[in-house]
Amino acid sequence: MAKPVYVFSSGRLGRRANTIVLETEERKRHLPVEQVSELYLFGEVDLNKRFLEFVAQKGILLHFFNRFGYYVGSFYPREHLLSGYLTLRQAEHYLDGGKRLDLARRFVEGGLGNVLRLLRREEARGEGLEATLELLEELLAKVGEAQSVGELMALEGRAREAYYRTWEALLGEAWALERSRRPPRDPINALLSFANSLLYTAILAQIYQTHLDPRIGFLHEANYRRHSLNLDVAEVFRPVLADRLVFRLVRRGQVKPGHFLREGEGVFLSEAGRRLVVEEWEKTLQTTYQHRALRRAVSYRTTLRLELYKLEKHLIGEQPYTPYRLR
Amino acid sequence: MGYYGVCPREAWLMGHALSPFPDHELLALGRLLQETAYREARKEVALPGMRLDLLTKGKDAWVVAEVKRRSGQREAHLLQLGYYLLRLEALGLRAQGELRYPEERRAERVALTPELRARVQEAERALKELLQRPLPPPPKRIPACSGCAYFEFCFVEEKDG
Repeated sequence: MAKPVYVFSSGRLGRRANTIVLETEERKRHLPVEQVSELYLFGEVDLNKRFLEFVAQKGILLHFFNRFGYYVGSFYPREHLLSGYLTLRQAEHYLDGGKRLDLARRFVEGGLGNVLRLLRREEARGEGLEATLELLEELLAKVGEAQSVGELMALEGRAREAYYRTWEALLGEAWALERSRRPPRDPINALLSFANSLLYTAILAQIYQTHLDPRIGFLHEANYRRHSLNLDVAEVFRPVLADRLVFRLVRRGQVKPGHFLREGEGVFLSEAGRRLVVEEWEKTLQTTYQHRALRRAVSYRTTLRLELYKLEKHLIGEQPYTPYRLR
Repeated sequence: MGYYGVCPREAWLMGHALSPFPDHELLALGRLLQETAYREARKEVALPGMRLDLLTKGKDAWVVAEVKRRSGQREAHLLQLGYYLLRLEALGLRAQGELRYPEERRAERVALTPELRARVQEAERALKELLQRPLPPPPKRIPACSGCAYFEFCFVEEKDG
């Protein structure tokens, strides 16, 4: 089974017969191409067109990160699974205002619902979150009335702000969160941004395994970014996968001050910090549970793909999309 | 055509180019079988609207073979092969059919009998009608589901609780 490979070192990526070869100053690392689904490139890596052709032919995605660990972009090989039929349905749901709003609402409801479920569990630990919970429930109730995608985004933004304000109570003063992105101004922002970009790319990789077009999102404006469908789906999974990953790393005391570097205004994860997060992230995605409907063990990585299947079924008109619920 | 014999839903999805999960284990096995079995023969001959697994020159006619891993869905394989024979006949080619199961070391001659001809024509008609429908037939659990690359697509839903 093909798996993502995370490359932290710097060097040269090339092709030798049917093998990906990473040549660094110290050694050569050989990666059989059939065992690689994605390459995450954090180091300074040289590669050429021949290499890109090779990975494109094998359907391998490349994700690039700059030296601060910022997500730069992905090499998304030409679609290998195409269904004109589904592409038209997806475009139709974007162009038809009513259909688009309906889908956008479902993503916001899914995301907000999962934030609420997460906070209710925290509440059970006695964290005093009543006011926030009440506000979030109020906002969730308004999602159905929102008349435009813009209104939805505004609702979502308010909810997220209120939710992030609880992080100080949940994680302690040192991890109080006031969101800052470019650049992240403190460790918690750096950590969360990195976890989110891992989620975005993981979803993108699953979209590649389906017939969906990652450029056509419903909540997030198409064309605003090159890929927007993965951001829509991430809405549902951020509290489930990214936020809970951050909680675990902080609460177990796994992230330490030494994992962060300061540069000018920004704070970034060091290589050791990135390695730690990536390792825990992979563990998270490989964790399996018994799926109720399928009556089979599935991993969280598969869960991301299942979400896309539900979306495909919505688009062909077979079954309305119901977002994943945190359990 | 072969899909229709197993599961009409699968045929509808395939007909709309909604191909299944490409990394599915059994699909990979099928591809491997395709590549490794009968290395010496002419393989993967593409003709308009069909791709023949194997085409060999027999004594007095061409032999078209359909290669499968297991004979469990023999009826569906028979329909598929019958469809090829019918198409080749329409192109003016005299051909005989063969079902081959290399892993079971089995091969079976198939002739285009009037009975098979009628069954293929009936299935063709029903398939055309099926593909016209706006929605795929709802999923139904059959034994073939357990190994199917569409399983997750068909049965995924969000259950409460």
